[in-house]
Amino acid sequence: MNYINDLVTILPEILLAVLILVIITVDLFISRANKWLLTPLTVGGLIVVAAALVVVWDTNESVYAGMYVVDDLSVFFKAATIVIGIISVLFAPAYLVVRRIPLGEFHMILLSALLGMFVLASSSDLITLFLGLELMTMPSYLLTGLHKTDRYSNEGGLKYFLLGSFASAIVLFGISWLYGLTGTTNISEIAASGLEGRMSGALLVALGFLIVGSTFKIAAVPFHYWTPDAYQGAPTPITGFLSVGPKLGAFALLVRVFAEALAPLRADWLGIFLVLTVLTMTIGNVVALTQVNVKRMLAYSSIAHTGYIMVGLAAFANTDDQAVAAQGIESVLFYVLGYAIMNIAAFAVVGMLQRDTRRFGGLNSFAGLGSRSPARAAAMGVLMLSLTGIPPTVGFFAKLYVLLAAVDAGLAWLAVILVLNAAMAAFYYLRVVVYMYMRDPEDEPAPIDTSPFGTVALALSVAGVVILGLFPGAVLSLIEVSAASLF
Amino acid sequence: MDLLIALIPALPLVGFLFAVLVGARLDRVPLHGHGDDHHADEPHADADHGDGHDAHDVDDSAFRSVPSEEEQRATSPHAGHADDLANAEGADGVIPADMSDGLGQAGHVAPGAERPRYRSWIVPTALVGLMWAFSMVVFANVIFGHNEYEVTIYEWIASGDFRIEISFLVDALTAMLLLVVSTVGFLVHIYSIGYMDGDRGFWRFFAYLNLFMFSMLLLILGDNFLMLYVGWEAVGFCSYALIGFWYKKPSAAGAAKKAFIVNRVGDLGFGLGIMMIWVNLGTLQFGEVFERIGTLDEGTITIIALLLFAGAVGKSAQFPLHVWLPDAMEGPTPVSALIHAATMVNAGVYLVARANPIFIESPAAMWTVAIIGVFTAIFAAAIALTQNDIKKVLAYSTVSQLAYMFFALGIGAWVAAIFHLVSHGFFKGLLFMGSGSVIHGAGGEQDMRYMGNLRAKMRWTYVTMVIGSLALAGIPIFSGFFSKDEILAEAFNRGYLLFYAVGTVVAFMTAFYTFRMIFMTFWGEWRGPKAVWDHIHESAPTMVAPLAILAVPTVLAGLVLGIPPEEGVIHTWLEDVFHEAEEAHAGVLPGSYLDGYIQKGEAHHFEIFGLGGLLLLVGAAVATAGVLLAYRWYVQRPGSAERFVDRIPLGFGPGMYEASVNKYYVDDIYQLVWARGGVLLSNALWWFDAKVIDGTVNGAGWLASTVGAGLRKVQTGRVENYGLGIAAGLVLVLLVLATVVR
Repeated sequence: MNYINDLVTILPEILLAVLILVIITVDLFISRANKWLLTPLTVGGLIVVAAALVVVWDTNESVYAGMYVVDDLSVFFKAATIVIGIISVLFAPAYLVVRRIPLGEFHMILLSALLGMFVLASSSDLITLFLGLELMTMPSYLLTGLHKTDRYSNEGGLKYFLLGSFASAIVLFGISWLYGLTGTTNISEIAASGLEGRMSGALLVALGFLIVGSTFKIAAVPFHYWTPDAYQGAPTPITGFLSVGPKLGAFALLVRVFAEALAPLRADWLGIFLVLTVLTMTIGNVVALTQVNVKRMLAYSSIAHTGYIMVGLAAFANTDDQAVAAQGIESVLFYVLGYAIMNIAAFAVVGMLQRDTRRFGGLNSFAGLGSRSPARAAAMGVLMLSLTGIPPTVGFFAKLYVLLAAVDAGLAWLAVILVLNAAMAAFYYLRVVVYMYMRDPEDEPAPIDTSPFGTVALALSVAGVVILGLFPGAVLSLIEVSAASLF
Repeated sequence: MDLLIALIPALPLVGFLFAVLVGARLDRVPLHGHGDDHHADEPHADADHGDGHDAHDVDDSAFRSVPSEEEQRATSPHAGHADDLANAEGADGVIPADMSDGLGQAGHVAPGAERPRYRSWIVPTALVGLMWAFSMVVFANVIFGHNEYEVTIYEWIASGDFRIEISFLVDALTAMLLLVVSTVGFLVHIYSIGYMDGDRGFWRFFAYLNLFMFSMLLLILGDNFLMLYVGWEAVGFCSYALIGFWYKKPSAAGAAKKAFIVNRVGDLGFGLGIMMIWVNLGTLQFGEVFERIGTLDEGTITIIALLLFAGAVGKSAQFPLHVWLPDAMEGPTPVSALIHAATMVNAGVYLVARANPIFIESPAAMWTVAIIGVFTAIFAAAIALTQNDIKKVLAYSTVSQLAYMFFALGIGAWVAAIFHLVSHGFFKGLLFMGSGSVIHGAGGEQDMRYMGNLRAKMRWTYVTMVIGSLALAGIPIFSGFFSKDEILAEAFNRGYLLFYAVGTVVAFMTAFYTFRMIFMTFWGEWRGPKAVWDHIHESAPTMVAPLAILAVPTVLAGLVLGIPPEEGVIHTWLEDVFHEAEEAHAGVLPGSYLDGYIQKGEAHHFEIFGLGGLLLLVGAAVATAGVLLAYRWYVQRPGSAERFVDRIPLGFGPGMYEASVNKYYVDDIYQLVWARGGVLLSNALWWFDAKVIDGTVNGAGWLASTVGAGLRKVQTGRVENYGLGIAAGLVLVLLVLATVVR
């Protein structure tokens, strides 16, 4: 009886796994000309998974002997994962086909990464957590190097793999120390094991390794070295996915480990976390300022966004007031969702201008886009405004919410740093808008990809960015419920 | 009614979306329509306008002798006008060469090429027109029907305690602003059809204008500080985009950046002020904030009020953040009229007026507002005295007039401030559009030293501008007379005699520089090149009509709203809004000699044969004296001004003149301290990054490769450095943890 109940609880995961198998099988049997069918098939499958998520909403059950938990927090992360998956799947094919990157592998690997994110979000045990982490990152390495004939893609993939493995090892090492100290790998048991006030050298090591490993995964400074190379090398729409998917997963990990397992120790990890947050925001922005390649600029700016999201976690850690702490987590969730939509779409527009395979996403590709393709330029304009944080877009609200959490938690100085950083970011985001509307097109303007899937995905993303900015209420109330499952 | 109010900001938004998505397709502007692309080949086409006057005559012949001009003129009925525009903005380098391709191309279209076509204005302008009609209905309902509307569209943000509604509040104060914003906005749209004709960015211009209208309406209609802030930032962005509309012209791009950055300084304060309100009161809704503000201690209220005021100082260009507004004149003139005279710059005044329950709780803040106002008024007027650029004169006059409003707000003369805001909105919009017409007519010339006698050729512009100037100068029966004198009378009645004296001196200066402008522009002899004189003609009807329309409220607003002085009908209208503010303190601040003596109700009443009449007489006399002095110095005896400067004792004259011309060096000081300092700082940081950080990374890499040279079997390149970096970071984290955590 229990067994069947457990199976129903993890229905979304099961469906996702089945979808992966279906994709592999179908890919074997359809001709090259029909490969495009994989995209609607995947999207359809993901929608089914989303429907299953609705079924398990409000379940809040721990299954498989406490290894796995389906609480609303995990369901929210999974829903965001599905959104990321659908947008990424729609954006990528046009770019991949031009470069003869096999579509079947792409879909299958991407779905595997999504499954990893599912597991990560639901782990209530450090072992499951690590499993999910690996299941998420391994496909990410593959995706980075998916363009096999491209030197940069290979280089990026390899670097990502080597350094990512290194970081995984660090995380695992931290986990083992934690196990040694508490005798358990279960997250809630660790939280209840009374670590607070018993600071020791061993706990210090565990904490240090976990911080370094997990901040590597979210690409926080100074553990961000891999990001620009991996992001630059990966096929552009995949970069979009990499900049949000694994990041979402890594934030799920951060929430599970730091906001749940190590929540009692938050006074101890807060200090170093604040330092990393400030560094991440500032250095990400400063370097992004100097980039003339939009793809690389977005790569660096994604580091800055990581910093903004970390502010929410810092707010969680800096307060004893439960309501304020919940607000911190909520701001993280909302930011991650909004950021995911706008960033994937922004990368995708860069990809759309790389139909000519010799284009690398330079600013010049955007020159005169306002007259060449008004709708796409307007879409990119909205995305840039949103990334800058200008109302009425989701980006504005995401930042505002993080700011509010920080101020409420007594971190006003951090909020000020965030605002200053956002002002700095306006420069390089709006520069793209300037190029689109105020420069004449190049003599040989970059051809624009106009495939229907990409167009639909772009329209959906922009609609999402604006609607979430104008009517965040509905999503926020879901987020409130989700965050409540932590407390 | 609710729907009507919701539609008011929605219509320009639709217009904006329309212009962005469809506008580009409605206009047909050949990218390189003419073969003789003479602008692009001329090296001096980009020469800076300001200091190019020595070579003025030489330049003229080069760019005005378009080869087949007469022939082109004959081919197109439109050509004459378009060609003038080419002179106006394109040919002499106001617009950089490659942007002016579209300008005047009616005369330059290659044979067989399609005629240019401009249709992108239709929908945006029509929507704004509809918006104007709705605004008037709302205005009438609020003012004459004594209604007040609160319209909640939906709950925008609802999370935890932080609840913000998208809702509109239309009370008498909003209605007054609505009147100015929508009327001037609509007229500027019409004016722009003529003014921007021939510009390649035609649709872009209308898109921005509509976006601006939307943002400005959001700003004045919003029912909470967050919506106000959103509109505030959005108008700031539009202002940036429109100042830099001719973005290829370095001075315009620079001015846009300057406006944006200077405004950011103020906005930072405004943002912090809003945060403080939220933190202390837990709400941002106007009504609730004003209700609860009294529960805070005075220190906190003062900080909040001063932070809000910092935003107002930035947006309304008050000292010390006034530097952006004169530079903003680099934008197209309709923009100057709309944003930098009649609407956006009023936002600061609106903010202080709206937040009056906060300000009255803090005498310190009120004093700050008043002192900044009085100082800026005389400071800006002293600069305007010597400016030669017609738009710069108006720009400094705007700063000075806005300062009057702050001065009024600071002494608690709320209604007088709003009265002046309304009348100033109309007459300054008129003056700016008139100056655009003059610039247009005078072949792109903005320097009044190269103008003169234009009244002979531009009758409508002349008459309307004189009406506007009479209002600005404060000559009786014109609107500016009533509104300005009301401010001065209030200052006198409330016992701020020093402020009154300074204000009166400023009124004299205002009358002087206004008519200096009129006389230099429209009277005397034409001092520009002969070739230009022959081309001067009245502007297109779309440009003249708004001038004529605006002349009506310029004449009547004062008579309708301001009689009897100090108790005019506008006082009745705005009574509800400022009722409590005037009740609570009777408008008397500590420091006034009347402090403690005067009570509400005992306040003095206007008597034509009493003190009030005397004050009016003084005001009228001062204004007339200013006009007469200008007449004597610039019409009767040209050159008197120079002689006067030389005659100032102790040889201070030339120095004072220089200082005024150079805007009292404020810009130079800022340039030195902030801009240069910023560059130095960033250089230092760059050095730090390049040498220390990169050095460390490289050093670490070098260390790694040196140490590991013997052991390494596989060359992994930089990955190894990265790995080492992570390891080093790990060690660092552990060390920090070990030292910090206990």
